[in-house]
Amino acid sequence: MSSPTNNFVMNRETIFLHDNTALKQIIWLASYPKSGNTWFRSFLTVLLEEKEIDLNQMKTNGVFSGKYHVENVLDLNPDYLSRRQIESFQRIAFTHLSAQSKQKLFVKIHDAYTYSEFDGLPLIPEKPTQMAIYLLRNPLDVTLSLSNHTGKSIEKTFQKYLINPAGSFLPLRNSPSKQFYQPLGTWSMHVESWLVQSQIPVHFVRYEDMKVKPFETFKAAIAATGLVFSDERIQFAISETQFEKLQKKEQEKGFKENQNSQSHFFFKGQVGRWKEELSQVQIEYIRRINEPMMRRFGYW
Amino acid sequence: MSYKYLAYGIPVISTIPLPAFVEWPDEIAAKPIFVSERIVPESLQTPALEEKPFSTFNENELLYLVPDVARFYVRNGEEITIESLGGNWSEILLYFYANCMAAVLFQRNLIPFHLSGVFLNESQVLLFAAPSRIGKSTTSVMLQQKGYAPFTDDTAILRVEEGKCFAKASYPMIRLWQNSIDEQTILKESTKQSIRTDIEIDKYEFTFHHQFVTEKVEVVGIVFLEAEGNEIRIKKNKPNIGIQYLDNNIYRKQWLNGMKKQFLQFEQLTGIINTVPTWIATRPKNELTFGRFADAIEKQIIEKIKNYEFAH
Repeated sequence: MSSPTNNFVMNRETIFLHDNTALKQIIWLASYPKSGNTWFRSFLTVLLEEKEIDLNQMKTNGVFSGKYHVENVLDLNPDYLSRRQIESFQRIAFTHLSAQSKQKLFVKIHDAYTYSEFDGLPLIPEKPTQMAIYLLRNPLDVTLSLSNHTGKSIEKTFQKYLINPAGSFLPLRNSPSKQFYQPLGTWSMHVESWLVQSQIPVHFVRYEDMKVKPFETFKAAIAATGLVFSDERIQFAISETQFEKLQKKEQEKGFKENQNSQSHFFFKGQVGRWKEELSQVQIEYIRRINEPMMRRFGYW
Repeated sequence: MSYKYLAYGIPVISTIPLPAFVEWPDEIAAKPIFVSERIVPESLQTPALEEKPFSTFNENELLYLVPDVARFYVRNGEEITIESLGGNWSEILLYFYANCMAAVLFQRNLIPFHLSGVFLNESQVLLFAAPSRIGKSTTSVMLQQKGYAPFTDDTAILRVEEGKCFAKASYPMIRLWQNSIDEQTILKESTKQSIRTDIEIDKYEFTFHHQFVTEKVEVVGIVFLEAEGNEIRIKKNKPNIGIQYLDNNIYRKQWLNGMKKQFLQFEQLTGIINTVPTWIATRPKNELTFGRFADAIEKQIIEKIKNYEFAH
C-alpha cells in the first residue's frame, strides 16, 4: 500500500479518511456559562504544569465555538461561512486536531448538546471525543454570576438566558465575534441535553461540591478522564486555584476572558448568594422553568 | 476571452472575471499569474510536505478543496486552476483571493501580511497589522474619514530595498461588518455589496478602484492593533517585540513550514523590523471606540512621524 503522503488524493474521501483515523483525544469541559468551567480549567492548568497559574496562559485547548480552530485547521476565513458549513467544518477541524495530537485536548464548550438541522447529526463530533466533564451549578446562583458577567440586570439575565428555550451566546447568523453562535436553551434544557445523549460518556461535577469537598470532587473528575496524578499534586492544584487566589491574580494582571469592563470575572464565587440577592418572585420564576434538572441534581 | 489585472503589483491573466482586482491592459515586464477554470489534478505532482483536511501542499504546489464549493490548484507561482464543485462564484472567489493568491505569493518567495493601511502623503503609508476581527479595516476607514487615502484593506506584501521598506497593496476592496459601516460616514450604504450572494452575512464589501495605487510605496510605520482591557493605549515597540508581532501577522503563517519558507520568513522579518518603527495600539474590547482610537493614532503616531520627517 502506498504512503498517504506520496499519494494524497484531494477529494471527499480524504476528509472521511481523516475521520476514520482520528484518535479520541478530546475531553470536553462542558457547562452552562458561569458554572465553574474557568475554575476547573485553572485547576487543570496547575495540575498539568505544577506551577503557579497565569490566568492568561491556560494550558487547556481553547473553546469549541472559537473561530480560531476552523480558521487555522481549514485555512479559511470563518466569517464568510453559512450555518451549514460552520457545523460541518467544526466537526472536521476538531477531528483533525484530535488526530494530530499526541496528548489529551481539554476543550471548553458552552453549547448545549444539540443536533444539526441540516444532517441530523450531533453538532459536537463523537469521533474525536473521549469523554466530557460537565460542570453544573445551581441556576439561581448562575443567574447572579451571569448578570455580573454580561453587565445585564438580574431580570434581563434570566429572561434572556436561564428561562429562555432559545437562549444562546451570539446570534445564529455569523457575527464579528471571535466565536460562533452557541445554543444554550434554558438552564435545565442545557443540563438535560448532556445527560440524555448517549454518544459521549459524561462525568457530572457540581460547583457546590468543588467548593465543599474539593479533594474528592476534583480527584474523581481526574480519575474519570483516565489521567493519573498523585494526591499531593491534586491537592497542590486545588490549593493554587482557590477562588480568592484567582480573584487576586485577576486584580493584579487582568483576565482576557472578562467581558464586563465594569466588573471582574472572578466576582464573588459564593454558594447560596441567591438566598440574599434574588426576590421571591425571581426565584419562583427560575425554579418553575428549570425544575426537572434542579430536582435531578439536588437543587430543589 | 482573457481578462488582465494587477494584484500585489503582479500581472494576472485570467479566463474568469476577477472583479476585486484592478484591470490592467498594459504589458508589464513581470511574469504573470495565469488563472483558469479547468479540472484540478487529483494529487500533487511531487510529494506533499503537509496534509490538512482542505489543504495539501509542498514548496511549489497547493491543492485546496472546499466540499461542495470548489477545488483549487496553485503551481510554481504562476498557475492557478479552479474547478467548481457547484459553489456560488461569489464564494469560490473568496477562496481564490485569499488562499490561491497567498499560495502563489509564497511560491514566488513573497510573504503576504495581514495589513490594512492609509497614505500619510502621496508616497508614504502607515500600515495596521492585526489578525481578522480586531479592527484593521475599521481603523483604516476611520482615518480615511479624517482625510487619509486608502492603501490596502486586508493584505499587502512588504520588501526591504536599499534600507527602506516598501509595500505593495493587494487589491482595492474593503470588507466591513455592518456595525462598523454604521460607525462611519465616508462609505455609502448604497454602494455596499454582498460578500456572498447565496447567503446573508452582515459583512459587506466596498471597492476603491479609482483611488488604488498599484506601485510600491514606502512604509513609514507599522501599528499592531489589539483589543483588550478598558482603555486606549499606544506604545512604541522595541525591535525584539515588534518582530514577534510582525511574525504573528504573516498571512497563512501556518503554511510556512510546509512551503519551506522559514529562511525567507527570518530574512523578511529581520529586514523589515530593522527598517520600520512599530507600535502597539490597544483599544477596549467589546466597545465601539474606533473614532477615539483613530484620533489617538493620529495624535500619537501620525503627527510624530510627520514631525520627525519634517525635522529630518
